[in-house]
Amino acid sequence: MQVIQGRHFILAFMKNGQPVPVCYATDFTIQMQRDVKERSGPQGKDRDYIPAYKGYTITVSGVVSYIDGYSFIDLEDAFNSGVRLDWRGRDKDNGGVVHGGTVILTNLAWASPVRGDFSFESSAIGCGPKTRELLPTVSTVYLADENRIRLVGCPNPYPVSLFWYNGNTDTIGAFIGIALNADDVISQYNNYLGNDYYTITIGITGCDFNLLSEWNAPFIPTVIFAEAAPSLGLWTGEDDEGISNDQVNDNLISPGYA
Amino acid sequence: MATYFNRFFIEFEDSHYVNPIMYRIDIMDSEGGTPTNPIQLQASGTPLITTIVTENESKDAAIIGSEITISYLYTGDPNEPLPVLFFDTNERRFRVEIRKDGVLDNVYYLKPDFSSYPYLAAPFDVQLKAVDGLSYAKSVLFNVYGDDQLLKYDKISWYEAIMTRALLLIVDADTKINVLNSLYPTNIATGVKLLFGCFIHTDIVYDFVTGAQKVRDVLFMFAKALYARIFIEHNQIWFIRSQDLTFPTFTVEQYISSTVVNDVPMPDMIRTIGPSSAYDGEPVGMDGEVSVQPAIKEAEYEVTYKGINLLSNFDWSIFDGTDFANWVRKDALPTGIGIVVSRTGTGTIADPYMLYIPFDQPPSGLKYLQQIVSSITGAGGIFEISFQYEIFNCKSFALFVRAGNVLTPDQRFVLDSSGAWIFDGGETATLGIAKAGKKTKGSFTFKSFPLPTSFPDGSTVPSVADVELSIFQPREETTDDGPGPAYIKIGRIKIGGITASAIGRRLIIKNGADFSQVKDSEEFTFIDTGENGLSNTIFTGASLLPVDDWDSAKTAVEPGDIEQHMAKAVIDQYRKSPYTFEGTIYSNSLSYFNLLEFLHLPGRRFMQLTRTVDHQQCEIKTLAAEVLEEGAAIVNYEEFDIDEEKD
Repeated sequence: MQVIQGRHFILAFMKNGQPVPVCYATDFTIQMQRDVKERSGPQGKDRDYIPAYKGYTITVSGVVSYIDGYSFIDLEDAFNSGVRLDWRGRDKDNGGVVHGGTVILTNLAWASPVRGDFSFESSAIGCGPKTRELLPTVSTVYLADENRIRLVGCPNPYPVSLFWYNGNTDTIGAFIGIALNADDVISQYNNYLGNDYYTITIGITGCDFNLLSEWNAPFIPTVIFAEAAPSLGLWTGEDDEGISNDQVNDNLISPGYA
Repeated sequence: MATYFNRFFIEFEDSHYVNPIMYRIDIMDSEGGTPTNPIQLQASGTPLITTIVTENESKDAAIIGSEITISYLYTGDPNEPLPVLFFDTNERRFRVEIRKDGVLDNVYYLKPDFSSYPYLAAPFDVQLKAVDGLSYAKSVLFNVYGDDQLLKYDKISWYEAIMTRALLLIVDADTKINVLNSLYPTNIATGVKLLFGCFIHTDIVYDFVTGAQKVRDVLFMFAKALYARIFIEHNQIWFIRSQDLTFPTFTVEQYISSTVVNDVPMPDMIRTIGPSSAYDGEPVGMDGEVSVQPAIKEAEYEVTYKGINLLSNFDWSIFDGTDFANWVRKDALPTGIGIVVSRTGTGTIADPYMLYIPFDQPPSGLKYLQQIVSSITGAGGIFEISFQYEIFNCKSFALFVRAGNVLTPDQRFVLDSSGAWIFDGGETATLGIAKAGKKTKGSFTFKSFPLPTSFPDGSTVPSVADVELSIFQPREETTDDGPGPAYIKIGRIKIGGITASAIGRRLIIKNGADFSQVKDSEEFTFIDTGENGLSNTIFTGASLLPVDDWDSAKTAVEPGDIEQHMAKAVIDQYRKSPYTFEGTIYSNSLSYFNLLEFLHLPGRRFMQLTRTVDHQQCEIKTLAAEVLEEGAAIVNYEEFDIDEEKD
């Protein structure tokens, strides 16, 4: 189970076209309401409803900062002008679920308790729909061994054995297949039956790939697990020497002589 | 109709949870500068409400208008119209078009007198009210004139009377009328539809003293006669006879123009109301109530007969510079001294022709007359006279009316000022018309007693008697009205013959069931006397003869006169207390003409009487009454003559 901690949720208001985190906001709540109409008639005693309008309100509280991020000054200006504020809230820097919408500040309160921080509370009412975007996370990965060390031979360690992950963890798992080049890695990785969330594309070197992880991916991989000289052996880089990775059959063929 | 250009619009989507509808409200202006791109106004919380406006909450309400309330948010933006723009205008300046999912649904006109905005700083909601054409029909006169601007005094088809000369003055020229009616004259030409095959005489919508009737009043005559309702919906006119709302399926006659009519099936006429989206509407809210309206025990109707003008050239339109066709002097020139006549006016609607008779010196008794030989009325008949006049610098003038065998001295009667007919003993009796103080314009209406049936010598007054109307030259020259000659002017003049010894008829219909409500007496217009000379008559067939009986294919309906069907309808629809449903229905697809059937009120069908629709909320607050079967009432029907009451 994936639990998102409240502190990971960052609220931003749009300022000059850019989302700017709200100063030292601490708590954010959203209340969504749905109006209903009650069906009537003599058909029974059970209450029954037809959905009608919906709306939402948000509340934000935090520590007053005059200068950082979307500051208290910005908030007060927005309140005074009654401007419609676009907001975004997310728990990841990159991708994931992005909530948003447009609100008008309806309440802004601040307090300076003698023993506490100068803090504010605000509430705002939603205008139009609350939006929700489900964005993939973009990252880069590289071919790595089981210890996440960049594969020896990079940028061209091919052929390599590719491995999947172990469960929902960023550790080495089942064997996928043998890749003879980077395109092969992409094809085999992307088409792997156990792959529900991830797509790689060609990266800056033959060992590096760009990774798109679906918004609901259980984890974000940091590497693609692989071993050089798949089912054959790994050239040591010197003469004809090689190290078999197949401990059973002890096969060894130098790529240089293949 | 003025040219309108699109100036403002409002868009919103309703809240229907299954099939939401996109509304667009265009506010179009007929004044101002060059058309520019329309400006979008922000819909406010309740952007569009439609309300039915009727004279009563009964099934016999005849003319049913509708009114909308538009609300938009005025934020103070300079592009937005100041609310006062809509206030300080006349009623037809701004036209409002409502579109549902892009399809024109209805047309309204902003009515400044009910619009409002709060006296507050912006932003605030501005409320604009607009009404459909039928509200405007109260003030528009029936077009009783021909292309030549002369009075169109003739028989015209119902289509011409209801549409061409009435409704098309206030709605768009291509508006269709849908007629639901199964009651037809038995002698209508085969295959001809109601509005094309039935005719009226324009006399019924024109008064020689007060002028043309209002469009609304004309529509009312027709609706009343058939116990029908007229309203505008989906930008079409609906003429629906309530007695015909019991059919299992419906087809309306859709009149597209003055020559084209099609049968159009109405598959969705009946809508079902129940507690799920499988129905056409769902009852919502806890205010739904089933009740009844009181049954009617007795109803009374009265009609006043109106005779068609017997005079020719009554509008003074045919004039050779010296004489008017069909009119003669008593003493014709050059053998005697004759009255001098001439014509004023330009013959337009605004300035009609009038007969001009100057004050002249003696000999007195010079007159201008028209004889109608063998008029349609005679023994026992009543004659009515009406016209407008001007009298200037003289005190009075007189009319002289004779009837009988006018050319035979001892075979004629003269009309005296009491309305009685006196035997012609030397032209002494006249109808005097005296100037009312300094008023130079006046009017004269007069109804006679029935013409005697026999002369003093015992001979019979013919049933088609001769009639003679004479206008004397004015008397007693004065200078009371200032400089200028003394004269009288006579406008269009009518002498109508009523072929009955009564001025009208009273119908009383009683419900055989035991109830107590007696309806107030109501006036009606069309009666099937079979008399050609009455403009109360409906005419039909190729020869435009009076209508015989009216009948429908329903087995329970007996052939009868139109007024009998009218009277029976009111008892049929209230022979018992009809159920009503009053409450709120959730739907965005129920039209006013739709009939409602409720899941839990089996076997009953309801017609909507009033309703208020909140389009954004999809809430229709309606009062609907049960439709009862035609011909099911057991009635006692009687007719009586109404006699002249003169002191």
